[in-house]
Amino acid sequence: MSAAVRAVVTVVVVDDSAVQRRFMRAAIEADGDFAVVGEARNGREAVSLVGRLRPRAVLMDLDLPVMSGIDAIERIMSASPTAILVYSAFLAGSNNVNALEALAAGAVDVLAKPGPDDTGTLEDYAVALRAKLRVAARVRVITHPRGRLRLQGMTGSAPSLGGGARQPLRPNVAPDRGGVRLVAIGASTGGPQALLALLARLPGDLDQAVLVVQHMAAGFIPGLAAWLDGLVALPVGVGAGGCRLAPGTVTLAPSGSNLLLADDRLRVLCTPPEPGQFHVPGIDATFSSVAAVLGDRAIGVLLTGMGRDGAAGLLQMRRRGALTIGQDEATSAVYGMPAAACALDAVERQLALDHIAPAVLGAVGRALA
Amino acid sequence: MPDDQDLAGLRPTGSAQSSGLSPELLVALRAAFAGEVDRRLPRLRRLQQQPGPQVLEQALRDAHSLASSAAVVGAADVARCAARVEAGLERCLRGPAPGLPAPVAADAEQLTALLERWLHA
Repeated sequence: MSAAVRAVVTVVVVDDSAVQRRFMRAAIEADGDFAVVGEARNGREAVSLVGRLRPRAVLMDLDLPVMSGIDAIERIMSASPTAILVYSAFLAGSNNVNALEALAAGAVDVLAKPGPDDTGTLEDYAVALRAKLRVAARVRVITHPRGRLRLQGMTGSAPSLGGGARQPLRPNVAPDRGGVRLVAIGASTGGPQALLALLARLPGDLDQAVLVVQHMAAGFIPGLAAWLDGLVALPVGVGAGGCRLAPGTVTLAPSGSNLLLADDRLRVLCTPPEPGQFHVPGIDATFSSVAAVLGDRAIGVLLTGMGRDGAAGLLQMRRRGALTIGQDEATSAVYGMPAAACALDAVERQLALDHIAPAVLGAVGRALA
Repeated sequence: MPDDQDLAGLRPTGSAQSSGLSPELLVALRAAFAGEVDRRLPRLRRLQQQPGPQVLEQALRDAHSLASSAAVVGAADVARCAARVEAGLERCLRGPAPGLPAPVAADAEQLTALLERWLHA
């Protein structure tokens, strides 16, 4: 008997299409580290199956009959919290926003369904899918009471992730940093929920521009912007090369390129990714440009996410005098990027998610809204 | 131990299909797609008969599923046409005017023709 015991990632696939279920099963089980332990054809079956089988991860289409994907996610996260990866076909408008609502309801990440104009093969897709499932299976999942998303959306109140007491690891002393012009934020897995929690607590008349780099499947950034725009006081849009970051606005880096700060008038440039760059847009690239242009007139925030993108860029910001904040482990869905930043000593203040907005506002001389 | 490079069920076939799927899997997927087409095609045909909101809603779901499934089995023309129908129905259902605009109806007619051709190929 082999001494090596491999932990297999068990997965439930949810889709009303037999074609998709068959393909997804083959794509997942092509790697012996994964096993599909169940298939569901609608949201209701998914809730029941996940409760019974308790898989490590769920791969779910959003557009489901009988019970919608969003409802199913809310019920699963309320009754038997599980890492849920959603996939969705691109459709300008509603589907992208639905994908973001799924993330807010507790899904870990989103990816696009295979499309007729994809440049890669289905084999490439399968590799990417399993990489996402690997990450999803490692994510800290929390109970997510049903209806919480809607309440937050209707009231605009700040969401709260994680539970228990949240104390900053260092004394909450706001340094005196006059002249801050930009808040640069990087996020990956678990980022949309964390971004909402942070941005919802910033006032609509903020004097600083906010620049966000969120790792996300290509095509979903406009949906993320539209979703956030409907829930936070600051206007949220997607950046483009040559545009200026205006005070009191949130700009998301677009898919497919790095968004760099070009000058102290806050103009930005879109540049092609470096050869071999894994995450596009890259947080390191943006943070490094902010460090070079603004020095101590910026604040860097690195939120939840797998990997280490952003850590080196945050270190450059800190070395140039910027306030640098890392999300703490207790409130991170994946404590990867902030941990990497801490390891580099790039983080001046490590804070629970709920404490980051107050710290940013304190640093720019504003009280919490 | 298998890794991402060792894709037993998804090896490139070198065939006309650029999917990278094994022939066995492709056959199984096409059989499943034929079943989906069989089930959804009659509902899509109803779009040609002054459909009400319920028919439009169901057709939207059918077009959505077919677009994704067709992409998986390599029927790119079906996938693109179904995506156009889906987008058109989405606009139609969200818009103020009842009924099916002529361009969407034309796309729907083309989709049913493509699906029929696919079934009988």
